[in-house]
Amino acid sequence: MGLNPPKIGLIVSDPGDILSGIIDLQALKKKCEKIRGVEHCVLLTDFKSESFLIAAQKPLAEKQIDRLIWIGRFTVKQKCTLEKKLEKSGLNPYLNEWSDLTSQSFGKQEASEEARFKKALTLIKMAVARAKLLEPLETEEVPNSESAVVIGAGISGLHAASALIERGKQVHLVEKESGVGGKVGLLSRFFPLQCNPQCGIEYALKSLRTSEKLTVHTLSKPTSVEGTAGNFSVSINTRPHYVDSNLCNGCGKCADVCPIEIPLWENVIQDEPPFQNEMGIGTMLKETQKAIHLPTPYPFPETYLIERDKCPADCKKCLEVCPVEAINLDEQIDLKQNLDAGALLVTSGWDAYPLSKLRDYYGYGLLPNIIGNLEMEQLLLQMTKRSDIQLQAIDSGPLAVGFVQCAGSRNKDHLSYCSSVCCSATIKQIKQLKSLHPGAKCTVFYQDMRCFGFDEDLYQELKSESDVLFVRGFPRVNESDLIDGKMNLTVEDTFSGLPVNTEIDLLVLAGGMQPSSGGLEFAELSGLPLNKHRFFTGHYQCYPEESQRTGILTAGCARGPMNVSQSIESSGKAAIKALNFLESTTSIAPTYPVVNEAKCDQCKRCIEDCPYDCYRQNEKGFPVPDLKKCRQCGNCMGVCPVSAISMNHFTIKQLANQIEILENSFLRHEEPTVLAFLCENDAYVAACSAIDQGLDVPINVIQIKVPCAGAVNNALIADALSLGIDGVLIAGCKDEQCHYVRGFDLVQKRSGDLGDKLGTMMIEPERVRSEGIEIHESDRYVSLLNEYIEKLTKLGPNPFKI
Amino acid sequence: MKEALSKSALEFNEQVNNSFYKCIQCGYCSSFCAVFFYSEDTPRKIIRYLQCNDIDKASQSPFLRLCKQCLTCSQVCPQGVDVAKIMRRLVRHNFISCR
Repeated sequence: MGLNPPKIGLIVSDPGDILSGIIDLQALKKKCEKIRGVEHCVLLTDFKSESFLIAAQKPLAEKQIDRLIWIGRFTVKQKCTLEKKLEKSGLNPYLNEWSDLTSQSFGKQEASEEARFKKALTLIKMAVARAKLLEPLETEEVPNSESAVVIGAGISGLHAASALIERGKQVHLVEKESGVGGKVGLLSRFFPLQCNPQCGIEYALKSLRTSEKLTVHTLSKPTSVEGTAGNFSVSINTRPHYVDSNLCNGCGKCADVCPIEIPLWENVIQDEPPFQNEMGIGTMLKETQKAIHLPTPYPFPETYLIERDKCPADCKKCLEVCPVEAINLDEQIDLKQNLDAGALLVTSGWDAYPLSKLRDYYGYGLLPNIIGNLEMEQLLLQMTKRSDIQLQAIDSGPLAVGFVQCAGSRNKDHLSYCSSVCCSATIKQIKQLKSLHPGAKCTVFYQDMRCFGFDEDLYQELKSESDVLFVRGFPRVNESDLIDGKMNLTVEDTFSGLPVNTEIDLLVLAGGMQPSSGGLEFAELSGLPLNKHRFFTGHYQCYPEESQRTGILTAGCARGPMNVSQSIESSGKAAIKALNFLESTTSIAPTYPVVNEAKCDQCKRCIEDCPYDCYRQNEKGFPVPDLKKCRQCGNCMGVCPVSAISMNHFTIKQLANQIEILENSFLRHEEPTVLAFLCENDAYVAACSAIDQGLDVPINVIQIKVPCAGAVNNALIADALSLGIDGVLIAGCKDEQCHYVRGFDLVQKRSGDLGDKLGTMMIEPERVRSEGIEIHESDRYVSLLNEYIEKLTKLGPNPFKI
Repeated sequence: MKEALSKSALEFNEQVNNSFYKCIQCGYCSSFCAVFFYSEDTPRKIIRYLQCNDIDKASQSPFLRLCKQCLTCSQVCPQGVDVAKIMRRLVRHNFISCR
């Protein structure tokens, strides 16, 4: 403030005559003019946007007014345009104070004229108290790196990368396998159109193949993630390819002379237990490839690589034949490099649930003809490619194939969730199997067929066929069931309650999806939070693509089971969000938290409780928020035990000054006053709509809007009670619905500390109350207030009340 | 529905912690049961009777005499229902109510 005390202008607008119906505005105006600091007060009679502007510009120019308080209801659009236009006349947008009297309650019947008038005056005084402390703030621009790192080159990663490249951004694609495509590269068909996934990958690669902005790092893994949104630094570790990708032209002469053959399935996926099942898929898939081969699952980038551990040390045949001398068999050291990125996209996908854990249920791994559903995909893929691979019935009868749904899913000992795609995938596999083996008899053992959306059509289509039988119940498989190479299964059909005997040549277990090992490793090294099923988690409904760490976005099966089209959609959303961090600068609203180092005692509570992990200690040990990560929820401000943290434009001091006004109650001594801190997402909206709906909201309550219930500091509550306010209500989102993850949890956690503090002040702890209120619970808000006020009346006035 | 239960039935439900309400009728217990095809009733059906509050039908089922208490059903249940314990308690319930 300095030498010149702020000069405040008050503009009262009452377009619907709501206020003038409740209070005498002329008398109020006279009172307002006497408030210290108020230099100008005007009652508007014309409610066009232009007249608002003129009413504001006039005192700005004539009376050197430097803050404006707008009283009455304004739409968000009006507020924005007025703030923008007044900025041109020299008033910083953060020097406007909006005090909506119509969203505060003035009681219905019993409230006296005097109480209403006093309350209105109190609210205006509160606005003035806050306005005096307003400071001009400027939006900040912070520079960004304009490239993105996409971790995982599955179908989601490819689509996200191509979306970013189309917008002209540099993309680094990091993949742990030798080629792109991920799990989709292993499938034989997409549902529902039954088209080939290879074609889908090719489509995704269309813009990537020709682009110079894409760098693909295969056989690579991230080893560390530093920095923040806009300026990440990701170090990656690349295993040697033994072939120089800049020189190799993909002619394939090396593969012709290579003497080593390795089974294809072994190469496709190496480190997951289900695929080490040599009994199953290994005996059925005869296809092999050379030790020097194109990348798998999908040959992009189109340069060869060598599996050095498989080839003999002294064989140099490929070296001799290569026309461009691209091969270097002595390449030993892993390549380490640092990638700069503005945003990280985690599309780490899923792993198949290890079916070997189901040995006791279904004998997986005991018999060669018990396979998993991904293995079935491979089998079907090979069958379409080569006519010599055929499924054989063990005796001369028709081929009988059994499909077990929910193998290891929806089970408390295995995966407790539903993987959501396996039912449709089984239907798809049966359709393809029947096109290859028209006489095959299929039996599906299921618990519930969950074919979402239009997949139901495929299910209905199959149900009407006579040689596909759906049995609700699960079979048991053990070695003694194996009679002459056939499996004889007994199962209770839970509809008829009768045992059903079936003979099966091949049993396919529809295993579920679990988070990928690569994704879990990345979560560990970057500290990203995971949900209880260990997938990446954001706010499930409102911003699923976010990962609770600003600038790191997730898409596809990294955040939960999805089918291919959902994965592609999610990657588009994630790419759009990533673009925000890939512009040359990010603008940051100046309403971020600031730490007062003179007050801070370095207790690290803010570092611990920030839901977005944005605090770091500076060299002196004081916490410093990372403004790009910060979502400005204010939980740090609420949690600070010495109230050293304040959000700009919503400072502790501003709030404290507002509360101080309430020292003199606007009601009679025996009537309780309640101060309500309402979360702007849920509770405040509910409170406003309660008043708009004409519900009887008691006059006793003064409502203050806060960004999150977690932003209310205990010191403020204690302040309010020591000033004689009878009760304090903190209302936020209900359990686990908080947009800032755990704001309301923090409130409840802190209420214990507060109880002790109030005890020493000889104030009853039940004067403070925290409640979860949903956006539509206006009725509950009112009944809750009434009950609370009744209770406070019984308790009697606050001992500190004047 | 619970009001319709007799006192002894309520006692029984308490003894097994109402765990049979968790059952989703998937049929694992029956398929894995060593003796289910000797009887018209199966563990799944008996639990269904309990869910429908027909404890008399459940406790008088001939299946209970076949049950060997091998505990396989309790092991395989994806919902964690202790099926074998329910069978055990039903036998006792039947014994008490006959007396």
